[in-house]
Amino acid sequence: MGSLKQYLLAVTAAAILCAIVNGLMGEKGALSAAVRLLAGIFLILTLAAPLVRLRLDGLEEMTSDLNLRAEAITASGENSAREAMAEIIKSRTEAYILDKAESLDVNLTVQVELDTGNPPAPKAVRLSGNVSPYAKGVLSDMISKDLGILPEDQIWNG
Amino acid sequence: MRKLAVLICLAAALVLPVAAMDYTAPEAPQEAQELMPVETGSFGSDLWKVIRSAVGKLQPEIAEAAGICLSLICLVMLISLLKTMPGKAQKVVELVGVLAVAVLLLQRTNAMIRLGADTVTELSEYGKLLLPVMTAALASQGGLTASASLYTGTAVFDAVLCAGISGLLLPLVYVFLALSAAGCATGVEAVNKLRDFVRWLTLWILKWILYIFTGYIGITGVVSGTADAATVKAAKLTMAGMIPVVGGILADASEAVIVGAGVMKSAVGVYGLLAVIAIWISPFLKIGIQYLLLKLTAAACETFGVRPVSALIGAFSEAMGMLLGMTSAVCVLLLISMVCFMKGVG
Repeated sequence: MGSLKQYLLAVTAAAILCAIVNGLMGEKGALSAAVRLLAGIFLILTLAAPLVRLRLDGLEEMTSDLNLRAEAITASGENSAREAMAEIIKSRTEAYILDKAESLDVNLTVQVELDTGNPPAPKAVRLSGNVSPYAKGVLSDMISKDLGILPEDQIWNG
Repeated sequence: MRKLAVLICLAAALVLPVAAMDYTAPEAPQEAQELMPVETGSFGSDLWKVIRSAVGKLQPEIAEAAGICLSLICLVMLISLLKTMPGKAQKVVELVGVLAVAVLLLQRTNAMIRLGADTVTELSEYGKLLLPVMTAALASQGGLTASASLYTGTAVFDAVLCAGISGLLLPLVYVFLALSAAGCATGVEAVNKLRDFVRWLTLWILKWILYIFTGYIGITGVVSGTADAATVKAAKLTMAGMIPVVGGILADASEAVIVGAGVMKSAVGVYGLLAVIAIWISPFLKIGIQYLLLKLTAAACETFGVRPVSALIGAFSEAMGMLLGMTSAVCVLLLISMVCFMKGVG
């Protein structure tokens, strides 16, 4: 309200001043024409004063590191998606191995490790439990053929 | 028992994306929250609820705006009466009338300008909270290029628009009012032309910012959306070329994550759209009521034959129209952006 009042007062004062000066100078003569011109310029400057004081503060602050921020946000979204996918792949791979082990009547504990690719693929597996050599051979063969985990990346405990 | 364990593992796998990617919309400001439905259902019915709640709260505003307009009509009647006095006082009466109308409307107009400025700030602040959530959700869905370009574009245009409104367009409304008062008081044609130019400039700036933003969103949407769709397709082909079992697991996991992220993004987007509309609608209706009533008053006052005074009332209503344009421009910018985020990949 204060700034508006100040602005309106300034414009009114400038308009009155211009009217008085123009009135005193009269209608005719080169001098009065020059004074009228100056009064017009003065009035326009008074009207445009808020534009001169214009400051677009937020703009510079907001746009300064926008690309970096966008990259950081998309990277965080991509990472969360990758983490979610890794958890699903891990649990489904473990469930697949457990299912096959169950069909051979083997009780196992399975822990799958994933690589760092995108999407993450199973790269190693830790299997614990009492397994007969026959079942171990069948399961190891299945894990390398179906899941692509090489025998040297299969760690058997027990 | 083991089967049950396997089943639990599989069920957990379906729930996991939700646990790993948790995207929730930022809460709307308190005043907008009051207009929002308690539980979100369909977008159409929720939007209707927001509009109904906002209209329901308008009664005091209508009364206040109507009161001011009645005072204006009384004032113009008085001026019209005084103008019938013999002698050279007519010009003075008109001048005093213009000043009286300006004084009468000044406080209310200033309150409306402040309301418009606050609404623009509130919309922008809410957008700053909502945009990163939508960006991350879209990136999770595979729209890496689209999300980054949408975020950057919206943030830049929002910053430009908000800085432009608070730093340039709102002062221009004051300039417009000052010129209107000066033009109506003096009747100088040059001042009236300058006033019309200020009004045209304000609306032109708003219009072109929105045109350029829509163009940017349209072009980047097509370009980056196509690129993202190609990336997703290439990833699917890679998975299909893997060992069938592991490829199937990877493809299922990828699909589950994309669907999960899509569901969350839609939920956040719908809430965000409603929140943006809820922030905007109350001020829009308040300023809109004032705009319509002032237009009506200006038309009514025209019949009393005091042209400068009714023209000034008309100018104040035009200033309200400019404010409506500013608040709506920020709202439309955010709505377009949200819809593009919700549209997703490809």
